[in-house]
Amino acid sequence: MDIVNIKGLTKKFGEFTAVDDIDFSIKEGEIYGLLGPNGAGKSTTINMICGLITTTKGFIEILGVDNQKYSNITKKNIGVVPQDIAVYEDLTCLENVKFFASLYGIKGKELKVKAEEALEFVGLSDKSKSYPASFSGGMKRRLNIACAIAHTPKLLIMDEPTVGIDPQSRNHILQSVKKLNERGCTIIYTTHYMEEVEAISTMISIIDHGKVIVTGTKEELKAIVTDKNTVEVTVIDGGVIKEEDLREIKGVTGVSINENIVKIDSLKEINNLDKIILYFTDNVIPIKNIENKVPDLETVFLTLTGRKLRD
Amino acid sequence: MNIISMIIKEVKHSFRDKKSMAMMILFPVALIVVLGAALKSDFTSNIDIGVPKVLYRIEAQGVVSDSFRSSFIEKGKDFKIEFTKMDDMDSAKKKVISSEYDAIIEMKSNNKIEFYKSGLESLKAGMVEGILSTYVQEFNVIMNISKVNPQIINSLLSDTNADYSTITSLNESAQPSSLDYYTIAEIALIIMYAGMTGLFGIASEKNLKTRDRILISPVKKYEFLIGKTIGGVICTILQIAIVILFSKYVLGANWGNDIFTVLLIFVSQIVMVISLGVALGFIFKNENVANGILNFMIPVMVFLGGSYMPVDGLGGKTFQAITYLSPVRWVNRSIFDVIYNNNYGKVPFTILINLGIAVIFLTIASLLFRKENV
Repeated sequence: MDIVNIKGLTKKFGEFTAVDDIDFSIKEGEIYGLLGPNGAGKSTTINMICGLITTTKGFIEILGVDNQKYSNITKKNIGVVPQDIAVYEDLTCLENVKFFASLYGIKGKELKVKAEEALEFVGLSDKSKSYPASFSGGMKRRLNIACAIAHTPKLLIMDEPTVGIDPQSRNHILQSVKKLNERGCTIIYTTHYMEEVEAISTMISIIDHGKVIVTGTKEELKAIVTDKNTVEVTVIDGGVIKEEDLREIKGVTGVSINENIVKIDSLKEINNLDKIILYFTDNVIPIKNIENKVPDLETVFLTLTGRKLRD
Repeated sequence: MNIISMIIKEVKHSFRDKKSMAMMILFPVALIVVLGAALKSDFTSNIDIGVPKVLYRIEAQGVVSDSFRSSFIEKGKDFKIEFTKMDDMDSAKKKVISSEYDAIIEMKSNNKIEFYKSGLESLKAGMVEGILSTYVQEFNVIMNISKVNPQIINSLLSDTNADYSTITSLNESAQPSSLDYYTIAEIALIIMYAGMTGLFGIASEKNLKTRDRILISPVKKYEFLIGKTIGGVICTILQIAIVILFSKYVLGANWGNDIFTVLLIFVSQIVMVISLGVALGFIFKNENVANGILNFMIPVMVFLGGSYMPVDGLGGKTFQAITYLSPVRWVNRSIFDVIYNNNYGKVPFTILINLGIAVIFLTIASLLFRKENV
């Protein structure tokens, strides 16, 4: 079942087209990554999905309901973690979460229970009576998430939720996203950090200049840009390696040696890694490191757009 | 439910904002104490407004007019009013216009009492009007009693000692002391600064990005606007209530016999000024510009309203007319009329002015909010 169905979505600000006729659909249970550089149109798309800004053209359906006509219905099923930390510094953690959850019609005991659960989920239950003014950036980000999930939305939209935080907090957030997804929450995750999308997304759309360039699983996207596998082997002495012997291994299409690093290209459909390793062990060439160099999403983006994600 | 959540949140914000609490509670208390003490001599035991001079004529004859003459006109000295009999209405009106006299009272042959005063507001005329309305109120009670038992009308009209209506504020010696005056005046002043509560209530939600977060939820724009406005009003009412209780029970300021009406006037002023602040929050993208405008407007309105010093009798007719452009003037004047003259004439108009201004500003805010593409 499609949780989100978008067709011909366009947003213009005056003469500037921020989102240009995009289509995509998100299935229930997916972690849908929207990857693109700053200014690509990710946040504008998100803002239209959550009803914060109007569309210029196009159609958005959330859980089978027209989002523009019946936003009061669709909004109840959406949680949004905004790009900017949007919490009140003079309300305690618990008060913040309770306030935002109350806007979704939750009240009384249920409100308190759900708010406490949300704080526990993000690891802030021991800080429920603390004021966010004293928090680190990472803790504020976690509170930002708690405020979006207390009402247990079916669709959670996370707009660059890890901007400007330490690796530990980032890791915590990414783990939280996976856990939420395991609980049945469909997630839209926008970022310009391709490692995050690679780590958690089950489906990815790459956006640039307001257009969806490509959509697919990460494997499908990587397959678009390469027809070969590259293995990089680091040895103690590269001088003893004979290139011609390596080229004789089935599937190998190219070998290059740069001091102690040997780069071996093979046809993508042939799995010959065991034979490559065997060559080194048979010839008693000690291996310091071996790495299967698959193209990352950065490469995909570079190939498709001619520029880097963080240009 | 959403509006209630918004209101509760606003109250929490306000009561945790030490700066706002100091400004809205400590500042007026300090002003009342300091100005009340420093300007005590200016008020002596009372504000000397002089003796109101009133022209009168009684055309009616009979027990009613006799009673009016004996229990109102002849008691002029007790009320500190100087009554002078008149013959000609036209020349009497000219005398009132030229400020030679303050008012005219005429009892027609059908016992109907007519009261004339200059179009320009005068404290003396207001005082006379208040006392007259009290007399008429008491007289009407007697007439109502006599409808049930016509036999006792003569005894009622000749009984000068009995009170047949609950007139408790008619007190010839009741005049505001400096403390009494500045209690009302400084509360009216500080309420004007509550405009900032409205303004920053809107601006801070924008700055904190929480406004978008609220609007992403199923909250409607009108709920947001109403929640912010009512929230601001309730916060200010609670803050002002503390000042009122302190002034009444600690400082011993006079709040008259009808504090409910006085509070009603203040509440209408709070609604007006919060709406003004909310509207400025939508009109100006830069809150500092809006704040600058508020900081310019408030002292002017407060000065014209008499919150820095009494403006009754200050300047000429033009200045007096200008003072009534300030809502603070209406608030102060109507409250003093209620407390000291038992005169409710200006109360509905003052409340209507305040609520009318509030409706205008809330409409502006609503239209601008609707136009915003969020």
